[in-house]
Amino acid sequence: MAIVPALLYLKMRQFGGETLNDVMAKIEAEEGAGSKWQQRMRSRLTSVNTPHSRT
Amino acid sequence: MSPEQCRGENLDARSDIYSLGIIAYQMLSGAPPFTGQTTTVMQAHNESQPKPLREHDGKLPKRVSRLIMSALEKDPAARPQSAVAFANAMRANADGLGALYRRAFALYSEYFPKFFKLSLLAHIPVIAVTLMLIGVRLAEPRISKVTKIALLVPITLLQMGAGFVTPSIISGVTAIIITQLAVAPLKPVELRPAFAVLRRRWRPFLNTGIRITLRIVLGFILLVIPGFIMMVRYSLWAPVVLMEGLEKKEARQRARALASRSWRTIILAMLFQILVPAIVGAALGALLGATSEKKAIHVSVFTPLTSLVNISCCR
Repeated sequence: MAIVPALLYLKMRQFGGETLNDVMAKIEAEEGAGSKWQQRMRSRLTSVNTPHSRT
Repeated sequence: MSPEQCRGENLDARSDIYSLGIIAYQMLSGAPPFTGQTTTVMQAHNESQPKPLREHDGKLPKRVSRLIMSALEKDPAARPQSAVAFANAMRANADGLGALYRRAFALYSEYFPKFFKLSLLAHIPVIAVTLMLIGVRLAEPRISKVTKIALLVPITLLQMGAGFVTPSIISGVTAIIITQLAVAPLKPVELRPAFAVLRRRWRPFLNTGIRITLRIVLGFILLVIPGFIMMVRYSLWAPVVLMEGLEKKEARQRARALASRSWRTIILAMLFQILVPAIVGAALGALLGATSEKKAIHVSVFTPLTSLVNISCCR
């Protein structure tokens, strides 16, 4: 039963087409910058979900 | 062909979302949104609104229809911004409440030790207050009425506070853990980072929580239904505060906006969350009451324990 409200929260975000990466990235950013490797991986994960212009 | 492609503008992933929307539209309605000569179709993609999907098939769920129509918006900014967001929204619309409970059960079984530890940690205040209550009840014959009232009033207030804090903590911290699992499934589940978020945001968490609880309590005082409406409206406040760092009015508005995306799902889930603990509590109370020969012991010990079960099951 404890998991249901948490899953509901994620489901409602999904209803609006909101991804989870941004909110998780925000939490991780608050924790601290971390190593360079972590920063690089984080930026790569974020860039996967943002629209890129192409010709 | 997306409107921006028809206009010869720069393209991005949102142009593909439009194309995906067209395919979904054709699959569900049996025909593409626009037909005719190439130039006519291009002009229609650029200028005309497609016929709403529900006009083709009235049985199609509103939310699914709305989502696909949003992929066909002329303005790329009004469409789902990525394939992941589109897929997530589709999945959320396709899965019902049953799938949500099945997923909850699967997650709980897989990570039982972690969730049990989280539950135990969050319940420490409730367990402590319940033990105090049992102690007072058992000592009842040996203490005066005034002492009893002096002890029971603060303990009952503490019990109410603990009863409010515990489910909110569990719900908020679980949201962080589940998000982490969704974003990085291979990363080991750890409680420490989730509790670190709670430690960082405890002030907005308490501020918002107290305000919302007061609204709910007031709602229940004014004939139960307003209380239930408040409960449903703000049911997602704890994950909103901990995950998004919002507080007070902003958190309330965000929780309400999230819930408004599917009132039906939220109301059904809330009813389930209330009914299951009520039934478990009543059954446990009846069972323990039936086996106990001493009714006094039942009142002293089992009533607080039943309320503890209620709080534990509630979230």
